[in-house]
Amino acid sequence: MSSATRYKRILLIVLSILALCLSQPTRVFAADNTETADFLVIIPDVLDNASKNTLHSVLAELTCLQKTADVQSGEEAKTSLSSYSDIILITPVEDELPDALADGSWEKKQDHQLMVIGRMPDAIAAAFGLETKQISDGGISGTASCTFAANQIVQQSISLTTPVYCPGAEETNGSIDLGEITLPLCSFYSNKRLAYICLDDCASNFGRMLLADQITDWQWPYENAPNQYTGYIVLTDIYPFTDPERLLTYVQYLIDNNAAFVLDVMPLYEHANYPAYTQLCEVLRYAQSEGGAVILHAPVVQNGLESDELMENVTEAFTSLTDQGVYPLALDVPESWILKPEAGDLLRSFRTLFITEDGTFDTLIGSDTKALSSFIRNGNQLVFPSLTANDSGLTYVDCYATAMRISIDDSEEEIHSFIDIAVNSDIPMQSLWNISMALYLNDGIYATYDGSTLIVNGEKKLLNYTPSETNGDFDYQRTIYYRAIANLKGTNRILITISLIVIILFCVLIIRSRRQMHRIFLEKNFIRYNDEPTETDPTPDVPNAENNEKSERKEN
Amino acid sequence: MCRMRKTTKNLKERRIDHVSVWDILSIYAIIAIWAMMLLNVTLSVGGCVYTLHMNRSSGHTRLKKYPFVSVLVPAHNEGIVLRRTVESLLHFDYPKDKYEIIVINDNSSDNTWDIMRELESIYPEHRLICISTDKVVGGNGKSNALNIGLSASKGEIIAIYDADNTPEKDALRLLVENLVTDDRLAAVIGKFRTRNRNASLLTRFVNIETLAHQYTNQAGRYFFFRLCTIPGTNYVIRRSILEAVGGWDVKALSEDTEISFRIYRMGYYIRQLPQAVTWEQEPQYLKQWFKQRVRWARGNLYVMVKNFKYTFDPAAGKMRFDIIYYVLTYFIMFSSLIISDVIFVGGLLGLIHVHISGFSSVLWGMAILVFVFNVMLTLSMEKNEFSLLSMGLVILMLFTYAKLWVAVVAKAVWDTAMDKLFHRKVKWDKTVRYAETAGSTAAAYGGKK
Repeated sequence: MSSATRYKRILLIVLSILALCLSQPTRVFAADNTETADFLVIIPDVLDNASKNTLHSVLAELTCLQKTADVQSGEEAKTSLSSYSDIILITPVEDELPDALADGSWEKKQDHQLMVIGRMPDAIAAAFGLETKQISDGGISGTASCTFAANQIVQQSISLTTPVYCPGAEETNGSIDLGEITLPLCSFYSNKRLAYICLDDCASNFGRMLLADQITDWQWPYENAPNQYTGYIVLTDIYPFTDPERLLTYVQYLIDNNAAFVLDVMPLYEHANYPAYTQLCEVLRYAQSEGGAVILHAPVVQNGLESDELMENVTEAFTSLTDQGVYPLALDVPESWILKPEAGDLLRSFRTLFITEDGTFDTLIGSDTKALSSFIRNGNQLVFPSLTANDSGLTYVDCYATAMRISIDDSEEEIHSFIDIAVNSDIPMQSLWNISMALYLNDGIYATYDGSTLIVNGEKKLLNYTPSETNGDFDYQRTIYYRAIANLKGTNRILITISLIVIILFCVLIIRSRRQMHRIFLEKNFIRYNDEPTETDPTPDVPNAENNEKSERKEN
Repeated sequence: MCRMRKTTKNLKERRIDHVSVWDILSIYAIIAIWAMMLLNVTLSVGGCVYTLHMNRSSGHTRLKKYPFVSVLVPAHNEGIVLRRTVESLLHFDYPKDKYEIIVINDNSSDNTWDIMRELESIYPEHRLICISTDKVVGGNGKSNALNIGLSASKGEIIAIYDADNTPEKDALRLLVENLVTDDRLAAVIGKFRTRNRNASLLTRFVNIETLAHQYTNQAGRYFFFRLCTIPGTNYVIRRSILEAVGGWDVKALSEDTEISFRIYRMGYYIRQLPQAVTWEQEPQYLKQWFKQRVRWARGNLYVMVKNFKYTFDPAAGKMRFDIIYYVLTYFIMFSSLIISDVIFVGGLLGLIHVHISGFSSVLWGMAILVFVFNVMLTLSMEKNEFSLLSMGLVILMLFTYAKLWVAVVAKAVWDTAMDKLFHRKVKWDKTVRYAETAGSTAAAYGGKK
């Protein structure tokens, strides 16, 4: 074999291998459709309003607890029941129960846990060796009460359609006062393998707080109380044009009261070097140095989300803060963004997310459980809106992190009152600086915090505050071009005003000229004046002037 | 974790990137268009005030003695319209023995000569003269024809009428009476109306345009600056002035504008007298109209270039304002309209992006309203012109007829450049005439003949 032939053969082999490698299809890591959720939620075939509300509340609280759930009817659950070890039954109908639940075979497994919300079916009770006692044949009203976070007792008027009492509970929480008798609100049986919440409709905040608390308790495997999560004091609506003096007074008040707090700052994209913004950032830096944390509010989007645009805007807003020595630790996003794929990249860029209520959570929940599960599996550290039972704004749940929000636009009395109540309550509060964070944005910008050291773009950042020096006159460096642009925007109004004045003037002149035309052509008595004759020649020679005088009359 | 991220431009870099050529051109166009619009608004208001004042008077000033007037009518193949014109001139209420009519039959190949012979025989009592030229002596445009007529005339005042004009009976007397009352006046111009207004949509537009032009540019400029430009027809001028300036410039396609500038340089002024009215035929078809307007634009460009050197010469007097006005119109306005149209079309196609904001649709709408009211103001000062139909025509004009001006000027600039480059002789494009029906003229006249 000649060297040329050998060379060609080797080359052919190498190219073949290369082609084979390049022809490998790109592996796509799609969501695993076969992965089962943490919970199976079984709903009746026909959902009434109460059941729907309860379903939404269950899913909402499971999301806050960062648990995934599959929702199925009894019929659908017959084949999938064996894949789940935790089941929640919402207002179950006796005849619709899956066979494995009805005959008790599912319940026999020691690692299986079942929660019933609504009316306890006889078959389930029997499976756990319990009896059921119907309290009344028809609906009955009463008052439910329960103790929540920071030992806060909350009462709520409720109605039950066919209340069933299941005696033999090992542990109970809360109570329902029906007048003649008092029932437990939530009961645990068989070493918490069975939990029973005697509520038909969990739509209210009370219902949601109860679900959060009881599901946490139900799932907690230890003897002691479940872990408590922080309630963060969040000062919201801090815009780049917010009065820094006013912000400083509230920041100082929080610091003086030893309150851990978070400042929620709206984004700014341009002119970050202008005095208004730099002065605001002075206050933010001071707050940061005294233990306060800054979070960045997501851009307000009105015309549809676009992933690239979102990332770009947030990167710019983040940079405008970090350039001033302010380091946001989290992103504040609207709750509707959770299920929007366009926001996915952004949500994955921040480890810590604050979720803001925008009124869509209840409608979103249940509409796309897969997307919800996908969001939960991202592993973000989530801070949800607080659930409260009154106007205080304080949170009543401590089974997940919540944000207690107060707007900087509220009155000074309201803000001080809120801070005083929060600080003096038993709500667990801690600084956002106590948890780690990480974020990754465009242009390789990133920041990490491990609880002690803050790294931004590879540089260690210190949080101590040093007042910056500024001279009184800020040179805006506006060229004639920029001034012309700014003036043009203002000129718009001036030009419109000038146009209006001109049009009015024209209208006046039109009326004037039309009146004159009317008088000239239609008024018989209209008189026009003649000029005086000139002295150009002593000899008069006006042969045709007399003929024309008939049509001319002197004006008085 | 390694992620692929898009690049975000640095804030400062982004701000610099916003400054594009189109932004600057857009600012220039906006400022130029609005400045010209406000200038025209000012002139319109002045023109209206002047006209309202003038309408209070008949315009007549009785003279003890009326000077002899030579009425010159240059005619090249004007057989279709000439008879009617001459008959109108013969019916002036000016003393019959005090004026003559000289028709310069300039190298005509139609029946102009025959018509003149016939008229001479019908009206022997009038001094009606027809001078025929051939292609050697004549055929070199209107200026040359007028100079020939001037050499054959004897009047101390020269009146000029185009061959398609039918002046009102008192037009000549009004003009002459006003000319002789002021020694500083070199010429007095009257008003021209569109005789065939109803012939086509184009003539309706031309009618509105000529009225707006006369009230805005002529009356308005006269009101503020005592400036007027001779319109080429229906005017009287002192013979002595003509002889002093050496007659009309044969190289000028707009001989009227050109002589106006020379008059002002001499220290005289020209007056506008709206009471002296003539009716003329305007081009009915776009092709003829375009040719006529290109000729006018070329003539104006010639005059502007010729007189630009006097812009900064104080001795040139008020004429400098006219030069500046022409520069504003033909350079600033023209360039800004081209730029704004290019930006508009480019923006629609997604090729051009302007970063300037702040100009709302409201402002655009206000600009249109200002234009419409401006024109309606000028129409309100005329009989039978102020109507809703006219307003609709004005709006239609804005988006159609008015846009043609850019094409006219562009063609004029191109032709002028080609003439200069290839040393071409200036050629006078004759405006084609049409026989008019009763319907196209009766309404325009308003019943008057």
